[in-house]
Amino acid sequence: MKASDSALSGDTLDRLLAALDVDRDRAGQAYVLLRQKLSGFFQWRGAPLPEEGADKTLTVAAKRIADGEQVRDVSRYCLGIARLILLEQSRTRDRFSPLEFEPPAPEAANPGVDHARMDALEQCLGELPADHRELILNYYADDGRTHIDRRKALARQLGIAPNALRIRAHRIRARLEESVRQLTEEVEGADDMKSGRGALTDRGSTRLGKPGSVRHHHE
Amino acid sequence: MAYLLGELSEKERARLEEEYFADDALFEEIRVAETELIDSYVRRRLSDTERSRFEARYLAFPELRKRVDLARVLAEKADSAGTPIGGRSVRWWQWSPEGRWWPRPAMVAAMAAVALLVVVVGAWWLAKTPTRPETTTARLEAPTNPVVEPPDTLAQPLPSTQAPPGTSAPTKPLSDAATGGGFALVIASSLVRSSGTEPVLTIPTGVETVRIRIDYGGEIYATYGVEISTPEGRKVWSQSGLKPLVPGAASVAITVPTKDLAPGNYILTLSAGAAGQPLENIAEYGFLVTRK
Repeated sequence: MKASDSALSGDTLDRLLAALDVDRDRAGQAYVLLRQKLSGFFQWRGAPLPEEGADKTLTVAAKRIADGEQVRDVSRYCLGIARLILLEQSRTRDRFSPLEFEPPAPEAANPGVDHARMDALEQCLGELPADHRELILNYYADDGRTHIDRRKALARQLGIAPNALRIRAHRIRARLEESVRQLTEEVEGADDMKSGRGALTDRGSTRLGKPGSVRHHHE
Repeated sequence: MAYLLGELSEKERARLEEEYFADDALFEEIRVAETELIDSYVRRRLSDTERSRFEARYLAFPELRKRVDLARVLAEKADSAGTPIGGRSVRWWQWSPEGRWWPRPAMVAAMAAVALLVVVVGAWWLAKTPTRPETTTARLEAPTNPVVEPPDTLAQPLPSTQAPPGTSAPTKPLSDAATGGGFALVIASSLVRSSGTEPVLTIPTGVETVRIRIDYGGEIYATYGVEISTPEGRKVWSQSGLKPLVPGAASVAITVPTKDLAPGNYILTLSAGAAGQPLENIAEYGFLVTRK
């Protein structure tokens, strides 16, 4: 576990959650969503390690709140901190290792079948409720106008508006992607342990979503 | 999408960030748009410029590249899954836009009948048309796929594509001499989005622009606008202030840079209006772009 996680434990985390919402459950949900926004902010700004940036932002915000700073809008407050951290990161880009700045591989745009990822996808699809699995496979099938027609028909069948279907499909897909990501990390981790490369790929340990911590999918 | 590809100004980016940090629904909308952007990349629906920007952003970092890889695998899985809707397992060619199921034998028979009709009409047309010398080689050839009237059940236009009451199509077909000819694609009024038959625009390597003619077969207006977008609604090209190709003809021509037309499906929206008035959409057409 990294120092940033340690810093968010105990009283510091409690104060941040209390600033987010008086209800503990809602505060947990708000925390997860805020972290997603921060991670998105860093990613969409081109930062190489979005989750690290999000965690650092939350740590700084939590410490300041714990120190007594009065914050009316935690979300906006965190955005301000995130911008400062991004600025700091852009000045010290050279501290990132070459591995984290891996350039795009020429074949990445048109690779062959990724059997390992396909296996993981099929396993995770199998773990979805049947109606979710059916919706995902229907929604993302085909191309061009055919899939537009398909989606309209699917929305009619489910009795919801096309945009509601779009959001529903995205939420299921987000969960599916997270499951596949965790599964492939487990598999890669096991392979790395066998080959003695375990320490190189353990980047997910800063995630709040690891077992035993606050975890919520925004839906 | 401009935000996701880093195309906004700093001021615009900052404003959008303020908004999505305050608005959970907007944040989710951006995430949905990002997923659709990744899918568009995987499905090769991005223009060359967008593709380059996407690759610089999304393939440069391992975590994002994994999302792209997963999108590719999901697309492959979904395309091959047999996709049951309503308790039946179907393929795209069994699916009709109205949500009804085509019995396979009927579909096959219908396709065979259409193919036979094409052959017969084509042979008749060739026999009737006098042989013409080859025109300039710098122009693209006419589309190789014939304009095929779909079966009646599929030929119903969308409400928005129907010509206004009391209007009529041009009384005579447009000749090459009148229009300048050389159109890479001619979109006829029967080829509306729901028709199930769409024209194909094949762009040869090295061609920088293509001319497209839209024969919408309705009322004549003072001015027209054309917008080309992806099925997801992303605008790739537009032009306004267009006039009828030939005075009095319900036909409009556009010249589109091929760099804006990556291989994939597109929707062309034709709008029209009186002089000085806002334009209103009068027709939508689907077409497919391929490269050779």
